[in-house]
Amino acid sequence: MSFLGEHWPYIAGAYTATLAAVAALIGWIVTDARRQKARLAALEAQGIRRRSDGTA
Amino acid sequence: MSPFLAMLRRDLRISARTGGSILTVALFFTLVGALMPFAVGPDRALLARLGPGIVWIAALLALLIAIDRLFRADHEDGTLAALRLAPISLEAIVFAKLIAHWLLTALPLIVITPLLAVLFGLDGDATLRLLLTLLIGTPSLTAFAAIGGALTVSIGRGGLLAPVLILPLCVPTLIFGVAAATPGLPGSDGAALLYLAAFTLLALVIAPFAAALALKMAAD
Amino acid sequence: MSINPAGMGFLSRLAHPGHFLAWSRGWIAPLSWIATALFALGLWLAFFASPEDYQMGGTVRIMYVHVPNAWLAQLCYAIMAVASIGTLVWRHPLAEVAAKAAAPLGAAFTAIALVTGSLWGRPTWGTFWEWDGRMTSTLVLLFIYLGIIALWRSLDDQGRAGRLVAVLTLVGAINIPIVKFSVDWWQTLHQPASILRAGGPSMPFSILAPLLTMTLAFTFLFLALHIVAMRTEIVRRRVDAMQRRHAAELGIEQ
Repeated sequence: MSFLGEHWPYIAGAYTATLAAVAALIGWIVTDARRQKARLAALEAQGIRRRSDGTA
Repeated sequence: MSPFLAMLRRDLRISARTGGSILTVALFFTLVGALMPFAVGPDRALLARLGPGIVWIAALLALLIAIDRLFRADHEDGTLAALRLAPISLEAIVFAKLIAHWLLTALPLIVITPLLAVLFGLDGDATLRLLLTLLIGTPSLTAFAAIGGALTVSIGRGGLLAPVLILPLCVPTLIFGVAAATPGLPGSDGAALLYLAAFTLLALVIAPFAAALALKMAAD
Repeated sequence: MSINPAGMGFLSRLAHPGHFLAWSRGWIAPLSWIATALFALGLWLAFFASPEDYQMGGTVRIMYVHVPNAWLAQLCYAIMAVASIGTLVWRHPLAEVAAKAAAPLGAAFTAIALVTGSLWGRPTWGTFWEWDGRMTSTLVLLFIYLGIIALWRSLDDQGRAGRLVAVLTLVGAINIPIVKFSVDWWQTLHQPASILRAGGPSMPFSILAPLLTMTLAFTFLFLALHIVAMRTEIVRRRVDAMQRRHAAELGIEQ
């Protein structure tokens, strides 16, 4: 990595940290989305409807 | 007597009856200030240099622990709801409470400050500066305390949440207050005090509206 | 169910969560692909097509991740502030959702900005932290973000929470420029040091290009994530409402 110059550990560190943080962020957002959709599917499977879907 | 003054008198009277917590806040302030030398060492020159900053932090922390006293009791026993029917606006009521709260929590601290100044070896000039900055700056801390208290009044165990919310907002007061109180900082003198006063005025204008808004939301 | 009465503004039409869900679905993939492409281009520019800075040397490359995140930290708060106005003034139903979804994103970008800024600082200033104006203001911004998130989480009634958080967000919005001013002033008071700017007095295109590309890349990433988070929040609220209603019905039957 010497082509990055003498401070390459810091440059590598910054990009690694950013990548890790962004990956974690994306992972959390996607996981949360899936979890809520699963909750919704579970409720609808039980036959529970939204109020605006009309009377049960 | 105007409703505003009546509100002010009421808060002061209630506090006179339940006196305890004024003493607690004042004691907390004194202890924090007095404990600092144990953390930074007894070097007189260092303490004199750090003194204004330490006193300001102690004041900030002490005022934060008193936040709940502003609205919680009145919210819980329904007084706040009743007060909304009063002939003056909720904003005015909040402002009256703000003044009462400052008189009860900040003023004692300012009175005690000369004692802390002695502990830190501050000379007369430095002590007077410190007192002046506290006088001008602590109203803004009370103002933010009111906002924090109003935002968290409906939360059962509000605990440390209100201080956490408003501490970042108090940064300008801290910066200008300490700068104005520390003699010898290049270019600090007049400017810092003016900025401090301006910020306090801004805070006093915003707080009644923000706090009243939050209180109305909490009640709905 | 009336859909789009003629003459309704775009925002009004979008106000209905159901419409938003339908409308936003198609945006996620394109935004994600654009972000990916921009990241690829940006990274290539950052490492293979740009020179070292005459002042900073190789560490200028850290700016290509630091600056976008610092920019997003501010953008997120601006969005939250606008959404807060939408909540308080117009009671726009999606405004709260937008604000709530943006908060953790903004906090994350602020944190990344701080970490990358710190890593840039070590070879540049010699320490991992320097109380300079920009870093200090960013730190205070992070605290404000965390406070807002804490307030969201501590209020059970999310409807009320939205309005209270809106008040806090707006008070913060007024305060942040003042904090920035006071911190800059404080810093010059204690340390009349010059702050290095990427590229020196004027930024050559070879440094500007990766900077802008990465900034755009991160922005598109944020847009995609924000939409997903908003959709999730809408579903979460629906599910909560359904569960509550179901529990109430069971309670009534018994």
